[in-house]
Amino acid sequence: MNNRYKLLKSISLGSIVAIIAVTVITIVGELYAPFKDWLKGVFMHHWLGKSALAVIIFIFVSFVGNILFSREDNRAKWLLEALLYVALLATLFLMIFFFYHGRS
Amino acid sequence: MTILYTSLIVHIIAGLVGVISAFALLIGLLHRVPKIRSLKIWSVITFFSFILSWATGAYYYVLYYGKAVKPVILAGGAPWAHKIVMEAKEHVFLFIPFVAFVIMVGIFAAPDAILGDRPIKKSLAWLSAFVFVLGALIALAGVAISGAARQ
Repeated sequence: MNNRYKLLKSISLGSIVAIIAVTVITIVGELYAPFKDWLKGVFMHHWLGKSALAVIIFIFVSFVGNILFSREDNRAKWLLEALLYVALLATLFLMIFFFYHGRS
Repeated sequence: MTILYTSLIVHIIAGLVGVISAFALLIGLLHRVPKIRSLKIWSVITFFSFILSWATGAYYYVLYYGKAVKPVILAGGAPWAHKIVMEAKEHVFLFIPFVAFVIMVGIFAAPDAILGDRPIKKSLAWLSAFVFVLGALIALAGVAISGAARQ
């Protein structure tokens, strides 16, 4: 394993956490209006807030991951698979959530 | 208005280019001996297309859609096009640039694993399939939303 694999593992972890964060922030914002208003107040628009927070969380977690993962760590494939499952589940979850939330 | 329409057109075209290049990536990764150079090119095109689509979509969505398009859809015969389709579309889209970035870095970081047909290649192919399918669904959602706005 070399430094390039270390970078791949770090950004895979960063993406997993960013996707989970977007999902949680979106659902909390829909169910608790003051949080959505806070996003609008700080970032001009709630969607810009979610976008900005996702990028900030991605950069932070990737940076921390780059410190924590060793070059010998052999979990690149595991993290790529975890990213796929998290992205799939988060997509399905948000689609189902808006299907029911949009009808109410 | 010109900048707004330009941003909408660039948003759509860049998104479609991203979907097509994600499909090219998927096909390339399914080859027994992939061409690393073309995989690198397609992965860069995929990532930057979705970044461009994200930026131009944000410009149009924040400055125009909420004020001028959303009220028309909500008052029309298909309010679900905003309440369900647009709401889901605008949020799940945020996943794509991150996954596309991981694919791009993966292809640049692990050409030996891809050529050696090791498990990372299969994982990158699945992630490319995810970007392609979700991107295509989002494009179809855009068609539905445009149709609802014209009703």
